[in-house]
Amino acid sequence: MNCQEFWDQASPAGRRPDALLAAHLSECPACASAWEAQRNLSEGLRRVAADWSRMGAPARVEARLVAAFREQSGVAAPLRRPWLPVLTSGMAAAAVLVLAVSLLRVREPVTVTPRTRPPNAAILAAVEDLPEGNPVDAAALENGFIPLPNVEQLSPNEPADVVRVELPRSAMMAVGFEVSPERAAEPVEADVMLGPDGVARAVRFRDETF
Amino acid sequence: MATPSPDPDDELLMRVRTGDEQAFVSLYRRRQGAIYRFAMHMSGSAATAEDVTQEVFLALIREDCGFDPERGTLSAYLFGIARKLVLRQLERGRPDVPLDGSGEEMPRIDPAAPGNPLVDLTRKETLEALRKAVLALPRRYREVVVLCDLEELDYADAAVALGCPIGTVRSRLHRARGLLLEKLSPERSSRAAMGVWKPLRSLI
Repeated sequence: MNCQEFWDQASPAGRRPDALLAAHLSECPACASAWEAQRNLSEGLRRVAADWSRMGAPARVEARLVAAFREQSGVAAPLRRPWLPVLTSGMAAAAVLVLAVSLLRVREPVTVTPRTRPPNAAILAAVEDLPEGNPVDAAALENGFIPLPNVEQLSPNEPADVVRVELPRSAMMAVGFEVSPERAAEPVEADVMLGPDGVARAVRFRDETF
Repeated sequence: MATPSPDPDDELLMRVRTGDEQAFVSLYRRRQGAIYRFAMHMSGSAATAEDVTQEVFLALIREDCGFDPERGTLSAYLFGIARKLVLRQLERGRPDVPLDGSGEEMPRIDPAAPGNPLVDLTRKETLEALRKAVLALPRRYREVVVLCDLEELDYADAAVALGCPIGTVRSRLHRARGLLLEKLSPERSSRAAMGVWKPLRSLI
């Protein structure tokens, strides 16, 4: 057996060479050395594989996938994956919120009515965190509306329309709420206040649990 | 003669198609580890591995996922999707590693260690060095080592995942192992540590 024939038949991953291969190794130091190196490498790779054998994706991946599976199974609409971009960017969530006004279905126009209970602590905290230069409209706050970031707020005498829409819960991040990844894809009803130009200015979520 | 029992993955996938959530969870738990590790070995990034794993299984639950059992196993199909996603991420992020490994941080192996460092496989640093050496391989060699040597796919499944003939898998694996040995040889580590590893032509 020559060296070429040896390497055509040899398998370093195997446990031990058969008699013919072993005979070649005993008479060819070059092949014996290369064979030993290959065997060591195979063993090293086995140990690398074993070292990571229990490694897997974090549990949150399974939770997101199960939520997506439920959505896919229960709704004929194409699969949506809002948590991917939205969870990493509050600005993206703001864009979703504004776009939703024109894209998502409008259930019924409602009038602005005084809030029957005070805004909860989370909303107040979110409002307090808003940057300067984005003044909070007092009248809107009384009604539980939270101004959207980076849009001009309405003056007190400007007319406004309010529409009720259904948004992904991840849109709540746009106004400072923390939303758990598991619930990011869930729908939530919201009242969106529109300016006379049709641009969304403030939002009021009807379910403020996160 | 008994008929061969159907592949458990295929059975689970059929149930997934009927909306069986438990089947989906079972299938995910059977396969997610290998997909995650593949992406980790290929990218060196836990965030990428997480994204890729999620996208692979999202693709699986789409109506038009395109899996055809006649063309290969579900495992090979999932690795194939993962490979494409990883490559996309690598193209966005860092350039592919050059063949000679220049520009890439080389595995740290103590050049003073006697003999072949791979002999001392009990050392954690040695395993880490080997892992880094795999990560430093050019992409087409890295993926075949990860699939065949680390995730123990057979050549047929690896060929399906890579979209190439079995012969190509064999030849790439042979070349990849040669490159790994070259990267891990004490001689090269020693020369790299001394800073004298220059292309020959630059010395002429």
